[in-house]
This record gives sequence, structure tokens and C-alpha cells, in this order.
Amino acid sequence: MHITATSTISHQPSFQQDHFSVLLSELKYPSALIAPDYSEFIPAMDRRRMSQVLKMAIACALDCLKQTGLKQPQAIIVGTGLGCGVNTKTFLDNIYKADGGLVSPTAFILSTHNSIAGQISLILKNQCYNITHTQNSLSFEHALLDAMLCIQNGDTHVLVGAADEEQGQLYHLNARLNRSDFEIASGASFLTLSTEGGQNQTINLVEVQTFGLTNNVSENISVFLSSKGLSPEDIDLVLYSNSIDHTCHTLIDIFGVRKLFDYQKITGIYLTNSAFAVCYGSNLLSQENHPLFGNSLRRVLVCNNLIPENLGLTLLEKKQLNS
Amino acid sequence: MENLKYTLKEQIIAELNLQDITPEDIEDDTPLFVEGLGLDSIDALELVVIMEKYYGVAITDESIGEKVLYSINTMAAYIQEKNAEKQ
Amino acid sequence: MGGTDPITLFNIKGFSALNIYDPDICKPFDDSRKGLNLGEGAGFLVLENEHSISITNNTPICVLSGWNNATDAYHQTASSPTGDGAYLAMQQALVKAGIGPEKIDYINAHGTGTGNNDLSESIAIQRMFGENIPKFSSTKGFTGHTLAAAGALEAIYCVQAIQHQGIPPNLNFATPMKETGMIPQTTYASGIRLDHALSNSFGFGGNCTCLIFSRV
Repeated sequence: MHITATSTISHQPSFQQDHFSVLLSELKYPSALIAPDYSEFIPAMDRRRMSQVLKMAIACALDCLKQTGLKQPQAIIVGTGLGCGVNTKTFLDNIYKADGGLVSPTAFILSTHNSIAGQISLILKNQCYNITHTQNSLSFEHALLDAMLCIQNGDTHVLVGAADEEQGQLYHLNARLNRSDFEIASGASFLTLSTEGGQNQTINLVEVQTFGLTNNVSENISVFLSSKGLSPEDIDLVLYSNSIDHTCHTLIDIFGVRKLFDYQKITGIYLTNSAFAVCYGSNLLSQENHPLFGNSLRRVLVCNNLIPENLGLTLLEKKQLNS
Repeated sequence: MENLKYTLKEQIIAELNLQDITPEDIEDDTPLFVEGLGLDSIDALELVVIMEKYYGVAITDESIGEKVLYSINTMAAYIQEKNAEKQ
Repeated sequence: MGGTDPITLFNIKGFSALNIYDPDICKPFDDSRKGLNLGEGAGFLVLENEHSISITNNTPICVLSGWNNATDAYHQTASSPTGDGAYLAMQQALVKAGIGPEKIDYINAHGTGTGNNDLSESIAIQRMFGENIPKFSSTKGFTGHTLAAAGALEAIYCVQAIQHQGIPPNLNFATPMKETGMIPQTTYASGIRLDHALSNSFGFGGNCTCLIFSRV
């Protein structure tokens, strides 16, 4: 199946930039989300209640549809690690401050994880399949798997993505994610999956697999690649995340150091930053004469090992159609 | 009364997080819902909270709520009426 | 697969703020219903495909024959007056099950006891089933709304309804709502043939899911 559009809002100038993969640089602390003017996407009366995570997800979703000319996707599928936790905290604060008195319902309404997919359906007036996956650091990969199932079951166009906003306190509770070398960040990344690709070349989503409680990343990768008849030599670039050095050593052993790129340097840390990596990989593959890679890229593997026991593998491939 | 109305407008703008609207944009007799300011059913619940939080005025009955929360004029009048009853 | 949720102050305050929390006992589908009760619970079911059963040799107690999720796209919390999301979810679940609406013998309704849900759901059921509305009940009079667990608990009630060929009653119902006149099953109905049961579960954001369970 084909990736027909990607859209991503991040701490990088990535939104609505056709070739954003050449505009990226390593984050320097402190960095901030580069958010667009949301008034172009969301009416003021709707926008006023929305937290950052909702606004950036909606903007990316609408941007994807605009690129594809698609009015309504047949499914809206969202992955999020911490969802609308900011509103959860706001509502808890309001309960505390009200001291037994009346509390406003707004923060409560938008405190559930499924608000993100729900708000996209409301903005689009879309009545199709609408699902939120929240699986810690593998939330996006689970959303992708669901999207692939939708296509396999007969849908032709599916909108899938992920969003998470910086919620400092929650990350600081998790020592493994609270790291001095990378910043806690925010981001939203969406893509459209379709049964039809572009005319000249197409970026395919070949396979996604998740592994929970893994203790053998090397074996997982080997099984994943061989299930597609591939070996490590067939992979041109590995975009990876890790929280322990061990992963990095494993990847060097398998692929060699020159094929590796740590995407956390450009995304910062959040539970669905692998969605950015998939959009980034797709963008790299779609670009001709890339300043770093030329036209050498054919297959990109996104290796999400943000949390040591969770592994998500996503394989992208470029196909030339008329050559 | 004019002060009360102005303060009410400020509180509504702040609590409802209305974008690009100033107290001067809200007429005293404009309907707050649908065709007027464009507020919705969730805002109605927010207005009930404003009435209780800032003015100690409880609105428990839906039919009273509909009349009282119609415009700035009706809200201000109800606050004054309830305050007069207390004294 | 399953769901679990405890009672929390967060949710009591939230549903109270929305004016849909009834501090008294809830009355699903009754004309005088004032809101939902919260409950807590957990429910889990084991799903196996044919291949798995050929290995485990487990005896299936029921078949999940249809399922669908659809969205109302109407309001953040309220259901639409036309019950679009619920209607679409039921309709497509029937398509997946490969059966017509006349085959459904029991509906375990979402039936929270709020003014809005029960009316919207009733209208969706009328649209789907026309004059021949199957026996239906909301079991939330027994359990309260157990939120994330509700879908799993009510799936289990449907499975048990098929296993025991009986329908659990809808508690606290006295007067049909003016708009629809629909009357749920108010006593335990036993000894009836029950081949297909439909479970409705709806959530915030107009998110509607329907499951159809069928006799093996």
C-alpha cells in the first residue's frame, strides 16, 4: 500500500514544506514547537477549547487531505502516548480549586485520549471508522497496523497519524525518558495510506511489526527482514530511537554505522516521535537528488526502540513505476 | 449596572476563551447563543459556573437558565435581583 | 481482550459538570430519566480464530459475527437527534455478520439513562429496525456506566444471553419516553430462542461501536 501524503508539525520547519528533510538540524536546547497559524485550519469557536495536541493533529490531518485532494478518508486512526493529559490535569486543578463547587465541563470533555480522532471527525464531518490506539511508545505503530488492516479489508484511503504534546511532569516520572541528552518535545505527524500510488514513483508502506517485552532486538530485526525476503544489506537507511546504548551497538552490528541516523536528535523525545520518522523517511525517499543521499535511497527502516522493551519496526520502500 | 455588564463580558471572554473578541464587541441585548454570539450547549454550562463562581448565583432549573442566560442584560438583571433578595 | 475502569472523583465531577450525572438511581429509557450512574468493573473475553481452536481444542461458547465502529460527527459529547453514528454502526455490523435486522433477537443497548443518549439511541434503533424492534434492555440499571469496562461487560451479557437463552431486564423503567413510546424488556425473559444478540457501546466524540454475537 502507498503513502500518498505526509504532514508533520514538530520542533523543525517541517509543516507544509515539500522537501522538509533538507531543512532539518539538530535541536538545540531550549527549542519550541514550530506551529502554524491554526486559524487557517480550525474555526475560532472550535479552536478556543483545544489544547496544542488537538490543534496540531487537526492541522496535519487537514493538510494531508488537501495534498491528496481527498474529501473524506474511509477511516481516521490516531496513535497517542499521553493523549489529552494536559486537559486531564486542568480538570483536576479545577476540581481542586472549586473546593466542592461547580466545575466547568470543558476540560473534562477534551480529556479523553479519543478526543484527537474525535475532533478530526467533527471538523471533517466524517462518520467513518474512528479509532485511537494508546500503547505507550508503540502507539503510532499500532495505529499503522490498524490502518493496514483497513486497507486489506477493502478501504482505499485511510488517514492515520499520531500526536503527543510536551507534558513535562509525566515524562520526568519516567527516568528512562527523562534524559539529559535530548529534550522533551511535542509533535504531530499524519499520513494518508492508499491503494493507489503516484504516477511515476510511489512510496510503499511495506510492513509494520511491534514487539513487546523484547530482549533480543537483533533477532526481531532479522525475523522482520527475512519475512519480506530481505537482508540488512537491502536497507539503505535506518532511522532509530533508543534509550539505552545497547540498542545502538546492536544496530551498528547489523547495519554498520554509516546507515544509522538517530532521529531523536531532530524530534526530541515524545512517545510517538516514530511517526515523525516515518514521515521523514517517506520525504527522503520521495526527493530526487537529495543533498546527502542523491538518489541512492530505496528502502528506509524506522526502528523505534524509545523504551528498551518495546520495539516497533516500519519498512518503507520507493518504487519507480515508469522507468 | 454598566460596570457589572462590562465585568460580565470580560469574565465570559476569559472563561470561554473567546478568540479575537473584546467586551465592546458584545452588545448588551445580543442573544448569547446560536445566531448571536454563537455560543453552544457546553458554553451554557460554563455560564452557569460563572454565575455561581463570581456572583454566588445558582441556576439549577433549565427553564430559568434559558431565560437568564439569554443576553448580558438578562444575566446582569438576574444577578441584581438575587443580590437584592439576599439583602 | 477486555476493559476495566474504577469509580473516580474525576469522572463523577466530569459527568456532574455536564449535567448528566444522576445522584439517584438511573432509569434507562424511562421518560423521567435524569442521567447516568457511574459504576466500576472489569470484563475480559478470549477470542480465537479457527486456526487457534484447532490447536487449543477449546469449545466456543459464542461467535463474534459482526462488528463496526462509526462516528456521529455531530458534537463532542452529545449524540445527534438522528442517531447517525449508532445507525451506521449497527447497519455495518449487520452487513459484516451477513444477516438482516430481522435476525437480531436481543439488543443490549448503550442506554446510559441520560436524556440525550437514550432518545438518540432509540431513534437509531427505530431507523434500523422499523416496526419490528427486537427485545432490548439496558443493563446499566444493574451496573451503572462502567465507562471503559462497559463494552466488555455488555459483550459478556450478550454472550450469556445466548448461552442461557434469556434476556436480562432493564431496571427502573416505568413510563415510555414521549418521543418514541419504546418499551424495553423489564423482566428476565427465559426460554426464548436467541440466535443473534447485538451490543451497542457509544462514547465521547460521537464514537459508536456495535458488536453482534451469534449462536455457535
